[in-house]
Amino acid sequence: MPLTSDPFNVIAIGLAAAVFTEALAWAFVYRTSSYRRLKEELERTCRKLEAIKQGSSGGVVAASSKAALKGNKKEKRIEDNMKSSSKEMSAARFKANIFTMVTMAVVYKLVISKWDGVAMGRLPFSPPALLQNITHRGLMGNDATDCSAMFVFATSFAFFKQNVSKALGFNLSRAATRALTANNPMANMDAAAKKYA
Amino acid sequence: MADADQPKNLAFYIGKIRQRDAASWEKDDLQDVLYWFRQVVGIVFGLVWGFAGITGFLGFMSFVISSCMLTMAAYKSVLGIDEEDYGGHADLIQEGLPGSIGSFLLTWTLAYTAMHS
Repeated sequence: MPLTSDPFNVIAIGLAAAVFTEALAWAFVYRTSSYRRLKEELERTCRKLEAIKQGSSGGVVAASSKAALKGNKKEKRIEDNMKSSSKEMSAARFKANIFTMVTMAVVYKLVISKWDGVAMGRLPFSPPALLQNITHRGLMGNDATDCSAMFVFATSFAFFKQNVSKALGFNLSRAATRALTANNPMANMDAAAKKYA
Repeated sequence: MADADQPKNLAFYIGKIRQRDAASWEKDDLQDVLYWFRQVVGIVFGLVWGFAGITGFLGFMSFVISSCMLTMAAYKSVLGIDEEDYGGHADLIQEGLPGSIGSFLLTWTLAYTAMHS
């Protein structure tokens, strides 16, 4: 099949949806003084904690057990602050993610309804069965190398959303992201469930 | 002026890259540069793989391997980075890979369709 303008229209829609999503998140979450304060606090706490951990792993031995105990208490206090901040941050970012989910659901419906049954292109690989739910969504026939509008939209939306967010500085630092992942309530629930099983 | 005090814009990163192995990098800044490098590599390789008619799972794996090798070449040869200072190769090589896979698949598909369908 020849390459038409359809996939480029879908890519443009993916870009517009990503920018719109980030704009909403910025307007309702990232711009607020409470979020900015929370972000600054979390970043500062993570930096302090990493500095302490690097200092202790670098072989610096406390002059006395009293100093070591004081150091451990400080580290524990900072860690507790970080856990508390990261829980609040998770809640704030979940609010921002709601815009992503709603926008993606609405735009996806529009894309699928407009390009239902239209193959955007030919995949240069035969996708595994799980991926065919995306690559062959809404298409007729059994040719697994036909590429649906959903695949084009999903990949372009994910690509633009991630990169627009990073370029505009909306992402957290890697240290803060690690803290969020480590203190994820879902992860903690899973660990607790295993403990009491 | 310490890196932490400078605004992290394009001019900052280009200035550091031009210094090559004379520059010292914060790990986060280095990973950011490698991330954006990886996104561009994903798009360029997708176009090249598509126009060249490379297909199949081997085509995909050759992209992953080439992308990793090119990233390593970039930070070892161009930036003069000693990976031991940054916790080894793992963090640096995998930076930006998941995102670049998506853009690679899309550009690979469109370029392949344009040339071979």
